[in-house]
Formats: sequence, structure tokens, C-alpha cells
Amino acid sequence: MITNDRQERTRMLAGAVGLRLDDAELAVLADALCGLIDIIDQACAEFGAEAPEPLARPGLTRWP
Amino acid sequence: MAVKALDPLRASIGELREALRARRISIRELVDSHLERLGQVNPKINAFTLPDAEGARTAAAALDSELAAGELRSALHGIPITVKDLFATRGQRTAAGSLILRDRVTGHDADVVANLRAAGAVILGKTSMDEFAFSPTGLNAHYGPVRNPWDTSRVTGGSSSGAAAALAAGVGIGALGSDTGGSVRLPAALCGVVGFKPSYDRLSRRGAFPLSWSLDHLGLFGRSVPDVCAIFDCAASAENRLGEPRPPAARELRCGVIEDYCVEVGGEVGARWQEFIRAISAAGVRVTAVAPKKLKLVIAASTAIMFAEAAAVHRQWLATRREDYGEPIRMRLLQGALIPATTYLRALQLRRTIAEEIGALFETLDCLICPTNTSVAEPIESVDAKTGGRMIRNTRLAPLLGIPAISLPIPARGLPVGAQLMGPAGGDAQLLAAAAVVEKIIGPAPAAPL
Repeated sequence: MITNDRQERTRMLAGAVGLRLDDAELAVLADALCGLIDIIDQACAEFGAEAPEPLARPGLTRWP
Repeated sequence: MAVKALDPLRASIGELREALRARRISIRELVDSHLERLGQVNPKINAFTLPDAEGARTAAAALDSELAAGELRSALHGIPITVKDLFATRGQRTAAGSLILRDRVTGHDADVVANLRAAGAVILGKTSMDEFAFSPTGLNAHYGPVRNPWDTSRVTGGSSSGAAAALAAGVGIGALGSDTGGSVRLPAALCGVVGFKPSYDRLSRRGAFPLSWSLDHLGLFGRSVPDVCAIFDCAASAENRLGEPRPPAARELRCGVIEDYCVEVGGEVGARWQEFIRAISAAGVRVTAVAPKKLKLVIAASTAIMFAEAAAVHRQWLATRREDYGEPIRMRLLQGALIPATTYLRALQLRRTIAEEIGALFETLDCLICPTNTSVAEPIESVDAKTGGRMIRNTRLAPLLGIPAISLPIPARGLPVGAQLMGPAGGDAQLLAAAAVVEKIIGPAPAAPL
């Protein structure tokens, strides 16, 4: 049973990657998942202009 | 001159090496004393998933023969250590604290295990851990909690829970663990031992079951900084060893206290931290406060990266064996599987921008310092997923940036509190040299009462 917007977003994300969620899992996940996505988006909006490209280059073995 | 009585369970690596050379103790006797201690304490603390008395005694006999012939492989020749259940050990079960891998027997040693065996270390057994290293508490839904040797009703922290508990209880002289968000430094702090997480990839990760590729680090436990250095140099490949950095004078050390990591800590932690700052300041260490503004991004960036990468590792089992995970781990993996690629990539961007700000601090500072743990070890029944998140607030920065970090026990009465020192990427030797100076100032930690 979908009870709010975050649960609907979570259900759609699960459907997009072919992952089955029961109602209990959906209820637990929705706030944590959507909250995290929103925090990352807000942080990028706040600091995005100065954020360099992510380090995800092939052959990278040492960080940073 | 009177010879100092040797306590084989608590002696330093240097003291044991001298005793072995002088034939004051054999390796077999040393290993037997640790196996006896293991048998005494493990029923109380649940630190071992797989004790290996037979393997340890076989190795000890061979190493005694070499010693009798005058051959000493390294500083670790005959030294008993333990290995987290995350690491492949040839011909033995490596379950990574899980039900899913309960029957998996690996046919090879992890690189670090092979290096330590080649150096003459004797492996006493595999230590307990949180399921797939994906929790910081020391609780495990399948195999039960590891109990803290300072108070067996309390948690050890995790995920290298058994490693820290065993060492604190006097089993092994050192231990091998892993640290993705604090899994070496937090249990080290809560159990009153030294825990070191080197720079990213300074120790080979091959043969360690992954949690999160870009955050995973191997790490080490010991009872002192010199012991940790000795173990590190035997675990690392030749090009990654520490060398011999010049130990700084206390007055040369410049430490930046991370203000945001000193607030919202438990009363005992706060009091102990103030004592620590007073002690190092009085010894001449230059201490200043720092407040990097991007620190508030660390938890979100680290969580998005860790959960997404972990879900990629577990994607197939999430579809076919979901019920075989403990509840908290299953929910974290599901959350990771649903993180959009754009969110993961933006988290990597945030990591880079945090790294730039923190990296700039090291232009004028040798170390960033803060309490390792935000509270002393909590009662087992009071710990849940939310508590776990708070426990590792101060340890997630270092693996996110790949910088070296070490936790030293602050000596005092009561439950243990750790002081964390972090250094610039690649500055492992300098950080350890600084930690040795600080350790001399604050003195050795007491042994657990168990």
C-alpha cells in the first residue's frame, strides 16, 4: 500500500531496477532513501559550482 | 642485571623478539599460552568464529625449528596474531560474518595473510565480525554479539569486533581487520587498544571480501604504536613499507582539533578528551581549532557511495537470498540498490570537494585530531541501527578521503575512549611517527579487567 510521496518514489525506483519490495520494506526504505537523495541534491546545489568531476577514471588505484 | 619477567600475553613485539632470541620462551610455549587464553575468554566474549589451534601449533613447531637454526624471518617471527573472518585463509571457511557464505572454503590466502605468514606470524584463528562488515556495532544476527572485555554486557563496536575484543582480552599480540567507515578505529577505541587504518590501497585488498570498493581499507590492531608499525611492515608489500621517518619533537607537532567532532559527545568522552588536550598541550604540541565547512557533507556522501557500491556487490543475492541477510543489512543493501546513478556520481563529486578542503588543512597542520568514539561502549540491548550511525560519526571522514588515521586509547579509569589522529594521504609513516610521540606523552593504556 502506497501511503505517501516518498513511498511512491521508492516504488518507482524499485520498479526501474526490477527489484521487488514488500510493503514493510517500502515503509522502512522510503524516508531513508529519499532523504539521502534529497540531501545529496541539496549539497550539490550548495557546493556544486565548485565541485570537480568525480574520480571514477579507469586505472585509478590510489585515492585521492 | 635482573631480567624483567615476561608476560607472554601482554608483552610488546620487541620484548617477545628478545625473549625468543634468548630462548627464554619457545614459540610453541608462546602460542600455547595464547591458545589457553583464547579458550578461557572466548565463551565470555564470542570473539572467534574459527579458532585454529592445530594450524597455530603446526606453524609454531616449524618456526621453532627455524629459530633453532638461527633463522629469524622478521620482527613477527613466532608472534601470534588473529585474522578477521573477512580475509581468505587457505583451506578454511571465510564466511564474512554471514549466513550466505557460511560454507565457503577459500583455496588461497588473502595477500596480507600470505605476507604475514611469510613473515613468520602465527595465526590463532579467524575473528568474529558484523555481517559482511556492513555495521559498526559488533552485533551479528546470525552468530550473536561480540562482548566487550571491559564489560561483557556492552558492545565492542564493529565491524572488526572480534579482532579488537580478542586483543583487549589478551589473545594475540596484534590483529588484522578492515575499515570502511570506522571498522578498525571504533572497536579499537571502545576496547582500549590501538587501531590503524592506512592510506587507501597501502595494504592490498585482494582476498578481502568487499563491502565498498572505493571506501574499503585494511587495517591493524596492536597494543602500541611501535607494535602496529611492526605488523604493518610485515603485512605490506615491499614498496608500501613505512621506512624510518624521523620522529618529531612534541613542540614540532601541529594538531588541528576538529571542533564539530568534539560536540554532542558523551560526558565521559568529553571529559577524557579535555584531559587529552591538556596533556599534549602541556608537552608542547601546538593545538589549534579547525572548522571545515564541508564536514557536514561527509555522512551523506559516504553513505551514498558505500550503500550503492555494497548493493552492486550483493545484487544477485538480493534477488535470490534476501531472507538470508540479517534485517539491518538487508535494508541497507536494498537502499543501496535503489540509489540512482546520478546520486552516486554526485556523491563522488562531493567527496572530491571535501578532499580539497581537508587537504588544504594539511598544508599547515601535521594531524587533524578528535575523539574516535562519540560515546563509551553502550549496553548491548540499547544499540540499534540509529545508535550505530552515531557511533561512527567521527570515523567516516578518513576512509571517504583515503587518508591515514589511527586511534590511541586515552589512559584513565573507566570504559575506554580513543583519540583519533588523521594525516594527509600517503603520509602514513609521518602519522605513525606523530602518534608514537603522542602515545609517549599520554602513556600506556591499562589492560581490560576480564
